[in-house]
Amino acid sequence: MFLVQLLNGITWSAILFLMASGFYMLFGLMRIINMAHGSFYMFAGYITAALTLTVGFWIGLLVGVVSIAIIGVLIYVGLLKSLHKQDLKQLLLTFGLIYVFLDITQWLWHGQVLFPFKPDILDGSARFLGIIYPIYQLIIIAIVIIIGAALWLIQDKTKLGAIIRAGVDDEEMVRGLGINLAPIFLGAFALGAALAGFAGGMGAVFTGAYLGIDTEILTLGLIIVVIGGLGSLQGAMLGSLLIGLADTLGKAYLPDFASFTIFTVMVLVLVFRPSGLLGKQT
Amino acid sequence: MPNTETNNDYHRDSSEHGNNPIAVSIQGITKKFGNMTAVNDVSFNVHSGELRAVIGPNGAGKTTLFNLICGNLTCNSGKIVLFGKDITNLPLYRRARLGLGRTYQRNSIFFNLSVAENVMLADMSKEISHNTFGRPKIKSESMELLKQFGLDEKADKMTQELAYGEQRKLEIILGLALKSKVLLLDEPAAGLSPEETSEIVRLIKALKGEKTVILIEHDMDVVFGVADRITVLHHGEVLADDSRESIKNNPTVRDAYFGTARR
Amino acid sequence: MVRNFKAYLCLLAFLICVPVIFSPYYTSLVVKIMIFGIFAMSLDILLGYTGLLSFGHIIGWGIASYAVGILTSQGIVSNFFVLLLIALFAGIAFNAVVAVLALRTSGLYFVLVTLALAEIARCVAVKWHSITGGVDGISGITLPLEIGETGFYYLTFIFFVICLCLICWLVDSRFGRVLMGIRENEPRMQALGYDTWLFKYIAILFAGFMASMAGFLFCLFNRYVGPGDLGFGLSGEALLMVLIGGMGTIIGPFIGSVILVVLKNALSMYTTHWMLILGILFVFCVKFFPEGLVTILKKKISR
Repeated sequence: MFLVQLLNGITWSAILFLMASGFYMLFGLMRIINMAHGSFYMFAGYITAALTLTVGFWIGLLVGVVSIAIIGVLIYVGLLKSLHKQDLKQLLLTFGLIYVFLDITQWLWHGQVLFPFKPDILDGSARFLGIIYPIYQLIIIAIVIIIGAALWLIQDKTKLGAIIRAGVDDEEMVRGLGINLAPIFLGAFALGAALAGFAGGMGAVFTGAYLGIDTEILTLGLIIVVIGGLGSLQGAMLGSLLIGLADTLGKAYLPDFASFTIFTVMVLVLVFRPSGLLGKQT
Repeated sequence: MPNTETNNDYHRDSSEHGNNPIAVSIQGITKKFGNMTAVNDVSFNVHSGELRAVIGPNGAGKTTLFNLICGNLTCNSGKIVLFGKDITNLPLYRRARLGLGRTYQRNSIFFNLSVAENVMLADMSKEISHNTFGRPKIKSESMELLKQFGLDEKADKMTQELAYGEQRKLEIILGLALKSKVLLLDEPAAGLSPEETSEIVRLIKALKGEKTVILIEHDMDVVFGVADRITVLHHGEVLADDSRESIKNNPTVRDAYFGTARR
Repeated sequence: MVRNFKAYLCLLAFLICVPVIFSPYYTSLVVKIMIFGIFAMSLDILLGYTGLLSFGHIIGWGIASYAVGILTSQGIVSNFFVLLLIALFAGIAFNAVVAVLALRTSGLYFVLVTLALAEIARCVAVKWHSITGGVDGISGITLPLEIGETGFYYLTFIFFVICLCLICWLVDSRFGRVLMGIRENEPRMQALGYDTWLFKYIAILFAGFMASMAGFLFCLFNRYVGPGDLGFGLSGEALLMVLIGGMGTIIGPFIGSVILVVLKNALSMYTTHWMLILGILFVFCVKFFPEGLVTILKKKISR
């Protein structure tokens, strides 16, 4: 049923948006491209899945998100902070971390494919518009809409958002005004990592946690930020929707050409709007 | 400020270059950044061999104007014509090939290459399509240029090791080495000592006649020492466009500079 | 001429003697070093000379490898030279298309787009298992030439010498200078009248040609091709070789290949955690030795 696939697409877009918004936080504020972002997803997914069996979904999810946030902070403080504003080096450094995460994940879980179990409360289905659809997916969509709206509000309407936007463009001036950016950067990195962890924990229920999801979801995330624009929240939203739908509908209706739907979207954007979907021409 | 510039004005042109062909014709160009209009309906013509100074207070849009002429930025509207050829939609490198050269306000040289390697890049440019795979060589004329500026002994030094003044000279050399017919100089004397500034002035004077020069400068002594005609920009619009003497005595220009003029 | 000409001759002389001096096991290790050396040198054309970090560089290697695998396993081609030509052509063709797309962007976006394109290629290789063998790849590939192990060593050696000469020539030529100018200050190069897009495009094709050579050789050496030949693992190892050895130096990437291949080989006897070590080395190198060995040594020598 088309409506079912559409909702599946929107759910996937929601998960992808969590990843893209994490990118947006890290790049928009600190010009950090975190290549290990997919690894965050994978690692959190594994933790959640592994713990679901023992302590239940919710605690598993919490531990997953918090662990990734902590790991993220350690990475930032230990490795990235001193490379402030050196985009390429930060990119390469986080690229190296992909291998570290991959190895440790394999070490801990021996290459199994794990799926967290849905918590009982969310394990039902809803009936509407002639279809039966899992509540879990609907909840994900709802949560992500709320998170997206919150981020948008913070960015546009609050003092914090103004500081963040100013900090991107003119750091010296913001510091000169006596605003301490260090805790803001730290917080932003933790939040960005947490978003990826949250995506991993919740998303692993249907994607599964396996070796290779890290690069697959990293690629999707990168395509989204390329077409949506690295520093644009709205671009991330639009891009996630486009890619999520293209991926899901492509897999549903053209299963043999699955990767091509994404490829086509990317090519079309590159050819017709190389400065991104919402990009400005100079 | 209404733009009073029309082609008819040039029949009354008091400068010696008034009868030469028009080298650069700027026709109604506008550039907006979001809600901010940086350059608004600017028009003027520069004749071949003329030295035109573009002056105006900070933020008047002078460097943006240069960026539009050279192709770093695209116009929202208007036309740019170089020796009769419409270059409005041409990319940067094509305009350079058609004879438009430029120096930048902030040094845009090749810091991790030697002085000679910097100049070689300018030398190779014209012949690169048919001599792509040979050995690079620096032209003797370029060595002369380096000598003129006192940089010939430092030819093998890394550019980052030079003093600021020397780097600035290299910036000018890069603009000259290309032998462009039209040269846009963006504050060439910025950051230079008085002696170095007079060197630059001497050089610019020597270019007059052979080349068409458009100059952005803040130093009024330099401007009034070399310019044939002066275009005054204010808030992205042409405030005045006249001969050197007329501009000197123009009260509106003085007001703009001292901030008493209002939009 | 190239500086240190004599040093290169010594290196080549040494390499010629390897099959005579060493056992077949170590000889095949040197084959690997040379093949990865070619790949790393080709990556350096983009990274070190032109200033382009392309994660899509592996496409040349992967497509050429798959071309060999598909054509030999299906028995379509049995002539060595035809195989080589098709593999090189396929590699260059794919690079030609990828470059048109990727060069629509610049800076960080370029890096990300090339990464995405390589990953898409890998996904296609996995999905299209009727032709590519899917996740398992194609095994049992044999060289359509009766030359034996030593013969293959010298075949690789010839390719290596060709590539080394190409790089030496590039560094000295006007074309190479233009690439370096683009790396240093692309907008100024355009202001000097250079069509920088075209130069970058040609650089990508040139580098892709060399990468295809390496992929061609490796496929025949390993007798196997799989999605890993389009994957992050290989991309990362090549990148690390360039970083460790030194970007923008002629021999740096080769040195990086020596270090990494030997290290991987030695460590594989004691641990299965090569990826962890690779990752740590990567992070360490980027943070503390971004210039690479050869550049650091050059600076020490000239003091």
